[in-house]
Amino acid sequence: MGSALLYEYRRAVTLRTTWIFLLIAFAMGGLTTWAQYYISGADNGVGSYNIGLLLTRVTSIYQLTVFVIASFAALSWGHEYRFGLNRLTLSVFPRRWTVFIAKTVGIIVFSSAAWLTSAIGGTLLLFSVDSKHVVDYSLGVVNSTENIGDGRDPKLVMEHIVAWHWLGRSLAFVVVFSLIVGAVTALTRNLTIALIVPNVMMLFAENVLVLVGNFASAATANVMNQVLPFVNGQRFADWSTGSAQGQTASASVPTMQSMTVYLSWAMLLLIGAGISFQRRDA
Amino acid sequence: MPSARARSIRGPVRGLSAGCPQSRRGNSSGAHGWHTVKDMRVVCDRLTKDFGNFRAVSSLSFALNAGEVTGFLGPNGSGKSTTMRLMLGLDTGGGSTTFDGKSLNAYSNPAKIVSAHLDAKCFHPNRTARNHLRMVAAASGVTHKRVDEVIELVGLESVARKRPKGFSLGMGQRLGLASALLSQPQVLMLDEPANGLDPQSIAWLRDFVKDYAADGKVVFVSSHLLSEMELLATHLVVIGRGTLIADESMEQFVSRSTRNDVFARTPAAERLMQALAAEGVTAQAADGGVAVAAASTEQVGAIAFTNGIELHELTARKASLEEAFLELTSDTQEYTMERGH
Repeated sequence: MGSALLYEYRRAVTLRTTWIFLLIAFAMGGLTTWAQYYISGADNGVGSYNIGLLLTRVTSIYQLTVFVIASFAALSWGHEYRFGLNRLTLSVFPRRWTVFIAKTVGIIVFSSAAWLTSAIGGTLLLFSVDSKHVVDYSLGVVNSTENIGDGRDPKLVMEHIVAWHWLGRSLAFVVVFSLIVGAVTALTRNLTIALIVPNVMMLFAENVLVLVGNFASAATANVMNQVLPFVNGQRFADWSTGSAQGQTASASVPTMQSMTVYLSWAMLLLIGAGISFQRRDA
Repeated sequence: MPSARARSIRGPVRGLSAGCPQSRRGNSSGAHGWHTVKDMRVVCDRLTKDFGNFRAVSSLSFALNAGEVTGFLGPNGSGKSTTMRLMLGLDTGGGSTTFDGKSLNAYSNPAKIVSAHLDAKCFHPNRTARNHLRMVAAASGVTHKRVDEVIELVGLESVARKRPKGFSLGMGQRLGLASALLSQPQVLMLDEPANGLDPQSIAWLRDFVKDYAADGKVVFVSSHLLSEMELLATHLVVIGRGTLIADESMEQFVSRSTRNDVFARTPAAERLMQALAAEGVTAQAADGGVAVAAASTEQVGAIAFTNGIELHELTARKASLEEAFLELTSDTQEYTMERGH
């Protein structure tokens, strides 16, 4: 397994595309955060800086950057088929599960790294436009609004620890989305389909389905809301949803159900992709 | 003449060896976990592959032995590449292939057992040649030093840091070959390796492959260049429409051709043919003389002498591999071209 992981690592780092994606993720994180900073008008004056607003900025970048981040997952599998590299890969690693697991791990690691890069990009850009406060709030945990501007050392305020999980949710959404895109690529062996279908599903198709379901009956729409992957994924990661639910630990209960649905879809697709990868000709 | 193992395509290379250090007739698992096998034998047993209703490979069985270059011949669409992929487990199908009695999956480092070059364009166009090889090297525990050695061996030094998207077919072949040679495998499988190579490189490849086999390795090469194969292989596996036509030495295969005959040039061709017929030997007028099938020069000479027939030339004509191949696979051509088009 070690050599398969090393192979996957080398595959990723020796491609310029990988670094370009990271750069784009960084830039997009910065730009979207910067845009939100002005659009939302979050800086309501010293002391009123709300940790929730900052987290909204940082976590909401997933909605845009996820496309870029997940493209890596698509290319991870897509290049294998597009350039015939799968024959080379599988002649070196005849145990196909090894390759499949290494690729899955690679996608998880890269999407996490790209998410972090994106978040750093967002934080740095906020810092550049409002350095006075952003450092304190950069990860939204080590300060409370009471500390702002009072000259005291930052201190950890336990009630804000709960905010961590919103960052975690954003990360989880991005990673699972990447796994879905990767699985779709492995299943279809088609880069274009893998790049388009999940994104179209998330942005349009599922919303249309729910809308159509609404026309049928409220129950139908409710079922769709309960079972569709990206509706649930977004519900899980969306800070504003959580905010509406009170921004407390208890708010995580319904969204954890959403995560279960979202993750189940990812696992289902991954298992399908794994079986397909195991059985089909290279 | 220096060994091809110590020469790159462009000339001698110091300290280079294509042979696996522990393949020198050792039989142990080294500290690196490399599995080495004395006299590796590859056995393909009833390999079968269907594409829908079309049977591409049908119960194909043959064996490859260490120390031999085995040529793999067959008309277009006969199933050569599919067979190679089946052997490597790249395609799923019936039958099995064992390497020294074990499936490839059973080895801890399969790259040390078998390595293949199946496609001249099997690389990412934007990953440099060196990085491509370093990636493959990572899979088999090969050092970067070895990567540089192999780059030098196949003559890619000048383009090692370039992206291969602009590589010619020949350059792609070299990169693929370098990739296959990285791990110094016990079994080397090459699918049409000479395609696109210039004559100098083909000559280098021939010497290299021969030396590689002479080092106790198994070499399995498919090629459409029959004249090249004639110089390269000592053993042949010939298939047609997915079935085995021949699994024998080059000499045996060529001797099966009816093109092997004795040619006699004489001013009395008619008399010679009558004399041969009287002895039960089949002969016919050809090429301004007499072509005698299934007879030796001694026999023909003796009959001519006995009958007082003057001979100006008496030659044993041996069919070329190409002639034998065309003759013996004529019934299995999947795709044929009309003459004159």
